[in-house]
Amino acid sequence: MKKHILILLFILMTLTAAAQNKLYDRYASRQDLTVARVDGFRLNDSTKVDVVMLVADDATSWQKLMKELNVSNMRDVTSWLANVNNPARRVRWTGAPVIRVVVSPTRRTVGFYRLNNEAQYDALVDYQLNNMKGKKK
Amino acid sequence: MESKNFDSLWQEAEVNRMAKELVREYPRWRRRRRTATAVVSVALVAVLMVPVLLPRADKGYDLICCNRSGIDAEQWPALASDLLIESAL
Repeated sequence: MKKHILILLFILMTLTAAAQNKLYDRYASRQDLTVARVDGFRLNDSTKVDVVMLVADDATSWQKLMKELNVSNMRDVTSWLANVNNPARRVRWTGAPVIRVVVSPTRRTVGFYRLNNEAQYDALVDYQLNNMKGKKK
Repeated sequence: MESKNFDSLWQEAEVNRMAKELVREYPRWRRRRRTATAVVSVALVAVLMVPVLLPRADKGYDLICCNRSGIDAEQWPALASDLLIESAL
């Protein structure tokens, strides 16, 4: 049973990795977007994640990108960190690899963070918490 | 003394001399070889350990790909970090 779960997780990880590469490949040829992929973006001493970022060159391409990504439905993507100061009320790791999406209208940027395991998930939340504290000081 | 006998004695003496020399020199040669091996080994280990022992300049990422050239690659990890922090604030 455990073996099957591991195999399933491996397949999901492979699929999310493929999705991340697919994401980059899909947008890399776009003339109105700057597309960057950071492999192994360091969150702490032992944890890294892969990130894909789409940066729109102007307001028109930003609007177009938002339509394509259907951002109105993604409004709550950043709310996963709601109650971030209270670890007990954090959104829990679901157990399946996911891609976290962060939308920044001021920077006209969308970031896709691939999280394969709970360690990466926790490291991402801790990274945000620690840096928020740093910014607030 | 016959020439043949002399040659035989001469060769015997020569062999004895060489054998003595060998007995005298062999431990020295072995000691020198052992020292050289040790020095080379230590040097090799030291060279191999340099990348491990020296503090590595960690870039904070493994690899960056961008669809456009001429853009400073270092800006992307900074942007990835800023996005995370902004979304949490």
